[in-house]
Amino acid sequence: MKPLAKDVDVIPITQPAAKAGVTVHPLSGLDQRVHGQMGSQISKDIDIAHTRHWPNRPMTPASRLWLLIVSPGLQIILIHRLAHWLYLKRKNGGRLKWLWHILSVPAGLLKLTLMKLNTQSDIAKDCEIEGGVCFSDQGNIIFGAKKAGAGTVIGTRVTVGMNHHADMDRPEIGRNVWIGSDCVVFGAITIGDGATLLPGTVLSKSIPPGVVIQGNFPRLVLRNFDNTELRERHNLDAIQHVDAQRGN
Amino acid sequence: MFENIRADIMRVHRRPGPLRTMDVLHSLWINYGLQALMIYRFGRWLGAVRKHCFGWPFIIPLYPLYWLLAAWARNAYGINLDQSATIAPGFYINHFGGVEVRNCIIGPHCNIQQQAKVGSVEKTGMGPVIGEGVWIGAHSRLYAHVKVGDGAAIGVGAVVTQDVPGRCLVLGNPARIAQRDYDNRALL
Repeated sequence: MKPLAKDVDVIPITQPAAKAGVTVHPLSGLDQRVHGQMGSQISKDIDIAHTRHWPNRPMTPASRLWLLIVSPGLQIILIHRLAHWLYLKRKNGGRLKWLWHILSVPAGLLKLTLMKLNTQSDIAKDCEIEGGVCFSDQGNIIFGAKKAGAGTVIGTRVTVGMNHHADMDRPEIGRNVWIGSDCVVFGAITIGDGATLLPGTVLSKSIPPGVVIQGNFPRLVLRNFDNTELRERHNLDAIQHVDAQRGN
Repeated sequence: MFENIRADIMRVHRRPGPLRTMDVLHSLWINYGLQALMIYRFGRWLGAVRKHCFGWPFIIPLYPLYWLLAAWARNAYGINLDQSATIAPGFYINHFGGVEVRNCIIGPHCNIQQQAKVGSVEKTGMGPVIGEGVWIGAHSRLYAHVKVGDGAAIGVGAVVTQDVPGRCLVLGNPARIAQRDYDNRALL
């Protein structure tokens, strides 16, 4: 049977598999760059933010640099990486400890202006965030998780972790987690890989991978949910999207 | 005026002994809520002096300064402490962003967190009356005219619609009592 004309015109959205020297879609799970180095982590952050901001725009060095200027969500994760790196240097000590103490002063000023005053958000300096985490541009995020995995997307007005002086343990967030706006996550809990917290969830218990959680007194909505679409598109109505998946 | 500010600073400083100028400056540097609270106390002081029969000529020129400072606290820190609220000494704002307090009465030694909204939305309506030593968790909302007893703990994300007895932990939307005889002194 001959294919219709409109079928032929459709360009496949899926990108080809990983090849050497080819930029891979950051949410595809094929990204095999080395973890742990700050440059590659920042590069992954920019990739994931770029896909969310401009889904149909080609990724060029100029557009990635421009995104760094226009996106406060990218700026706060970048400043956190700098502050975290200085914190590790300070903690590990060594001969140059005085240098890291001095350098932490301009880093603190950068954090105060661009992170705290600009977006009203705060990220704890000892929080280990893997490369490729996206924070919302609207800010108001208080983030104190122990760990956060790659591919995690965090919405606006989100609180993760509780205050320091009350003797409480902090949550660990897995990879590819989508946390909607107005969520609170606290206590010594783990969030499994690929979990989805719909907007307005208050979570204080561990959840397995791939589930959808909703509500204050959290309830399980769906299991084995694929949240790639939610993480890719910033303007998607999450509750409608999940409801449509439930119907199938 | 200065006794309540001293009590507020002691909530941040947390160490017994005399309060030095460096301690005050350090507390102001590490806690943005304290800065917003000082601005609120300044506005309340202006309001109190203005009521005096000879006070108002001295106070009226200071109001633009207060408006500027309050706008700074509102926009930069996201902490909106309205003058219609009555806040007793020893108030502590833990994080910043989205704090709104208006049309309510808050007792001494209370604690509030980020994104907590206390007080009625309407200008005329009376908001909650909060007792002594109450811990108000993050993202909690108290809009109705309810009474919150001494030593209660409003849990994280709770939406309070009914009276809360003293020494209780309430959680959820709408808030229900999760635990009676709850000791919130570790949280404060």
